[in-house]
Amino acid sequence: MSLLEIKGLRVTVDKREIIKGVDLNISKGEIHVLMGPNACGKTSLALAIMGYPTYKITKGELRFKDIDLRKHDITSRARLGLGMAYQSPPEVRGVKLRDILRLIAGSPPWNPTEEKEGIASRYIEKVRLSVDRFLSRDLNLGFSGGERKRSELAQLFAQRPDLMILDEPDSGVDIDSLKLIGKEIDEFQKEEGCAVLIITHHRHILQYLRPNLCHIMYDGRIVDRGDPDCLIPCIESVGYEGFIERLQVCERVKEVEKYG
Amino acid sequence: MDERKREVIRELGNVYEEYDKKFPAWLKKSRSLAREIYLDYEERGFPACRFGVDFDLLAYRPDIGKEHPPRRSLDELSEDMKRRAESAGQSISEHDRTGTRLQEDATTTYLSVTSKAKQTLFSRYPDGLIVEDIEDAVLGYSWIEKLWSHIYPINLDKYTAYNAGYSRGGVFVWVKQGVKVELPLQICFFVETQMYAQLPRILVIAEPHSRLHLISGCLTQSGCNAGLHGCITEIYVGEGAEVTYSMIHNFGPEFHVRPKIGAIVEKDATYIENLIIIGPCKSDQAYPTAVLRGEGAKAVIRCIILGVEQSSIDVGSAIIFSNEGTRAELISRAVATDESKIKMRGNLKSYAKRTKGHLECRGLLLSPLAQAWAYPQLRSISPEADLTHEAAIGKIADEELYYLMSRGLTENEATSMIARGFLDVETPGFPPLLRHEIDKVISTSLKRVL
Repeated sequence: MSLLEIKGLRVTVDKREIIKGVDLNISKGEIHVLMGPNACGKTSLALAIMGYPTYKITKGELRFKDIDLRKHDITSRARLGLGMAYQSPPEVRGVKLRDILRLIAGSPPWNPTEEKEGIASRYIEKVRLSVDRFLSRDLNLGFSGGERKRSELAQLFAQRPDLMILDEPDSGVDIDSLKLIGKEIDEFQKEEGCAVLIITHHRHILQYLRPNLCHIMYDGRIVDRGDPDCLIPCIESVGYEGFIERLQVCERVKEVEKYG
Repeated sequence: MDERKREVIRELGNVYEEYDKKFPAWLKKSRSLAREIYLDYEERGFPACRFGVDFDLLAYRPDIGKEHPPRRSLDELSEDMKRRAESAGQSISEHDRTGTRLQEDATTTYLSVTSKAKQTLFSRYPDGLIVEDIEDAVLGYSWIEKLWSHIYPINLDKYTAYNAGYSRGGVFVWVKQGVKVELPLQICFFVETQMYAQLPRILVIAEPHSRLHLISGCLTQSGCNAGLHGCITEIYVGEGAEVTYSMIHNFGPEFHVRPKIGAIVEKDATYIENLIIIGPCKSDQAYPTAVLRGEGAKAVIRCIILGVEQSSIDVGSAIIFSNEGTRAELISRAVATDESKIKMRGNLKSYAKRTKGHLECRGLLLSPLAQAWAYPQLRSISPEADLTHEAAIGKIADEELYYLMSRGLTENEATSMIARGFLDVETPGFPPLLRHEIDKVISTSLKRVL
């Protein structure tokens, strides 16, 4: 049985269809990559899985741990074990990174009489952010690109989800941070045995993760899936447009073969 | 003016004629003049006050406050009063405080300095800090005459004249030159008699290069839900001195609150004010004003407002830049819940060169029936003044809410966390423990509301 089961999923935003029939199955402990050109619906798919109300599921099935997710709101989906690291998380003025980390990890609110910062600093250290500088910073406010990605990971680690959806954890990140992020995700995944769905444009981060399957998304559909080691070099050499053209040629060849 | 009002004023006149006998001649004269001016306001129906709703002052009586026996410690307060005092930043154990003054209705029931302050502050400067009942102070120090009603002239408006004519109780705080009072001094005002008009006066003098932090909690007890609290606070911040004045209001749903707070800030001195309104009220109007009189003077006024139930709150602050190189920041943050109405005002007036001021009014509406207004105002006669403002009113962005919910927080937890963060204004020099206490109060209030 799959951890996440998506069948014929269609999603609209403001009455415009964005996801046009997606099938996706992720089993426990698997790492899947989702690739595709900009604005093809990758993030929309992730947000629809997370339960953002603006992303309306019009058709299809969405199940997690064999539970129909359509009846659950964002909070209960998160509590079921879904977690997401955002590509560009919003700035939340006044909410301290420390407070959100403690709340996620289930510790009581911080009290200034406490000598130690407790669990929050552990997660901040884990992603190599400076504890002194980041504990009492407002969430994402004035964070650099790399700092945002790390703070997203720290929150996700505190949450300990069964399925991590990582939306471009590698975009806008320098080479050192990339290495660190890749290694941390890999380590955490191995320790926790959680499943991962990673959205990315580059193969660099995949060096650290060894994904099981790669899905190619185009215009709201998953048009191909297969071994990442075959698919990714192919896309890198011809680009998405070229890749799609070839796919269409293949389809036509199949049709010709079938009907003569 | 109807016969009832006339009758009440006559009665009060007789009561106060007797009450005022103890005061020096200058004060007797000033008070009786203020009463005449008040009568004028009532009789001629002058505009009551620039801001806030007008109400019938004479429905409340400043002469009906009960006599309360003195207390040996704050521990003698009832559990309900303790809880309420703590909700207004007052420490019952007086931990990390210099001292406490407690006023119940018009009676001072507790006035003491902590042993910690005795060991540190008072062992070095035995007379470094004077905290007295204001009515004793006017008898002891004749020079107070020059400072009395100097910032708030008795004819400013109906409410000022009313306090100036009928005030009872209050406190005089005097920090001597160079004395730094590190731990906050707490002053607590309880209204315990139904329909009582509590009209204290507060006079604060910080001599040059001194430092002082006052935490004033204005409250009522559970059984008393209707009344009036109208104090006049005049603060003089001497050259190079630093005064922080934190005031927390937590009253009942039928209370009118009219505090007048004014400060004169001298050369290179700093004045920081935090006005925090957390409890319900019928109306609360305040317009703290700081005059930056000396060169390089600095002021920060923060208004943090949590509107609950049907409170009508009109809070603003003003800075008058009257000397070169003065700087100020006004910050208003309001969270409006239930059916509360909150008006935020801010006014920067520059009359000097090289002045710099920023004004911020932000409101968050958490209920479809709540309302908020923002009135930022800037005025300058100097081309070298740099005055800016920003104002915003809205609800919590869905994006932020969903973001926190996707970490497993419920919608209410996320809302409360964002609202708390919104009201938690970074306050340099603010004791972290007090900030934490205020945060606790706000989160309890939010929990109740949401």
